[in-house]
Amino acid sequence: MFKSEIIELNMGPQHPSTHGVLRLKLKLDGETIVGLEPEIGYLHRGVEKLAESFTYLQALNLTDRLDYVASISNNLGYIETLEKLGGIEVPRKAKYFRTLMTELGRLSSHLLWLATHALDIGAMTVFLYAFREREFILDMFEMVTGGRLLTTAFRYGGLKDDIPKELEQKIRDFIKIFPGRLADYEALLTKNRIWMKRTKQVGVISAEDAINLGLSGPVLRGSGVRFDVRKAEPYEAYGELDWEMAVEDGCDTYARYLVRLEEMRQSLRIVEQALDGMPEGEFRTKAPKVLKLPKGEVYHCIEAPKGELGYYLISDGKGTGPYRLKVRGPSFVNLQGLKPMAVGHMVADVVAIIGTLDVVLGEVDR
Amino acid sequence: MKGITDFVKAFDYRDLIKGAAVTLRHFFKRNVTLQYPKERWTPFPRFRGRLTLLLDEAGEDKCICCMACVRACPTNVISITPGKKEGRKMRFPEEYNFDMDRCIFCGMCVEACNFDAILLNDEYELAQYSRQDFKFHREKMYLPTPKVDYKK
Repeated sequence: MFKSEIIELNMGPQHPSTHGVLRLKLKLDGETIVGLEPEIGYLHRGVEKLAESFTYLQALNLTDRLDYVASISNNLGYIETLEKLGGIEVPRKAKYFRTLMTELGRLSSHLLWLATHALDIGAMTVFLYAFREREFILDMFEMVTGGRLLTTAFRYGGLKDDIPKELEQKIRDFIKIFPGRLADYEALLTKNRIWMKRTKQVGVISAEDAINLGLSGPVLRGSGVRFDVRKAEPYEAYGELDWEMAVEDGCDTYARYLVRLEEMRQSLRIVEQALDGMPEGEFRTKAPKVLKLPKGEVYHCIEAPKGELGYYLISDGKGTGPYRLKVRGPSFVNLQGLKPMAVGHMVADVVAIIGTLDVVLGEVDR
Repeated sequence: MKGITDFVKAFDYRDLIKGAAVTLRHFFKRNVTLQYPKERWTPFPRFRGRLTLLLDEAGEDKCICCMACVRACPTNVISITPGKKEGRKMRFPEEYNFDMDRCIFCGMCVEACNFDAILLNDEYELAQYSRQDFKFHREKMYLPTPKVDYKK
């Protein structure tokens, strides 16, 4: 009497909870998802090709615009790649300060994730609370680099300018207030019955699948895999500081939420230690004003808030800019986990799953 | 049996009360919102606003047209025509054109300048009604951005 039919539904690219211009082609059986295909490329600006016509320093501006909610991490990855090829030693003060800034960037990225993820699921209160704290961090970025979102921080061989004097007090204030604010978010979400129903057993991905798909960052650690680039190949000052990796075995959206919250706590620890142990001295090694790098190829990866961010740089040894720059964006790779996570769930859960993957389309499309 | 315990547990509202307590406490906190058009925010000293040309104590251009800023700019928004003037050893910018509509405010030009002749100022209200108003010539470069009267 009744016949069933698979219907195709377009979600996005102007859907508010796809966090940018992500288009999903959902195949639905009733309200259950049987197939899903992400359609990307709406924000493609050709960053990798553009970098070839820029100098090394100018290309730093492009890295700001990859993952625009954590541009500090992108800057760090790119500058470290240049330094690896150039073989330059960075002063200890710069190393500590870079670590500090990157962790603040991680905090601001995770705060934005928490705000939007909770908003998508329906917990609207957290949204403005998290944005209020994020504003605090953006003020620090403005103090240091002059930009709130597109920071263009760090330079080849160290920092651009010395650390401003007022910054220390601002960070100390932040360290004082932030644990209380984090407790507020937890009171609103962690044990909340609606939050638990919307996130537990949603978007499950096993550790094996996560590794095979190449997922990284909190998505991988939420499946119980102990992998963090900061621990595996410590860069900057991470090896000297005392902090723990956040891992949960839940494999679901709730576990990834807990991982990110724990990461925020650990980031705060790193910030505090880096500030206390900030060495005196030079902030930048002498480097030529027009940068020329020797012929060679180099790959370097760091742990960005979203996962493993890698840069593959080829220099032909003649020009003043990259011959080829390839970006391994964590959001792009993590997006591959969307289909195995979403199949079998309802349409409303897709929103939660996109949120938990924490994709930024600027990095997916590049 | 499980159904009954779940039913009883559903009346344990501790989780929701905890959340409501947080929102209730925020009623009595100080507001953090800046009432923008009435109150204005002061940027930090390193803020990157609009590009400005600087003059030295004698009121002469500090710029000597070395073209470092032109070369450093990733979006090619600066163009300079150098000129000669009586009684000045160095060249001076006869024309200094700046297209603000394509500027990305990265500060590469200021970093490249060896003579401290340019600066990104602290202005953040840079909107204009006409596209022509984004083209800055030398005379306009020393002054603050003209304020736009917002109509209702």
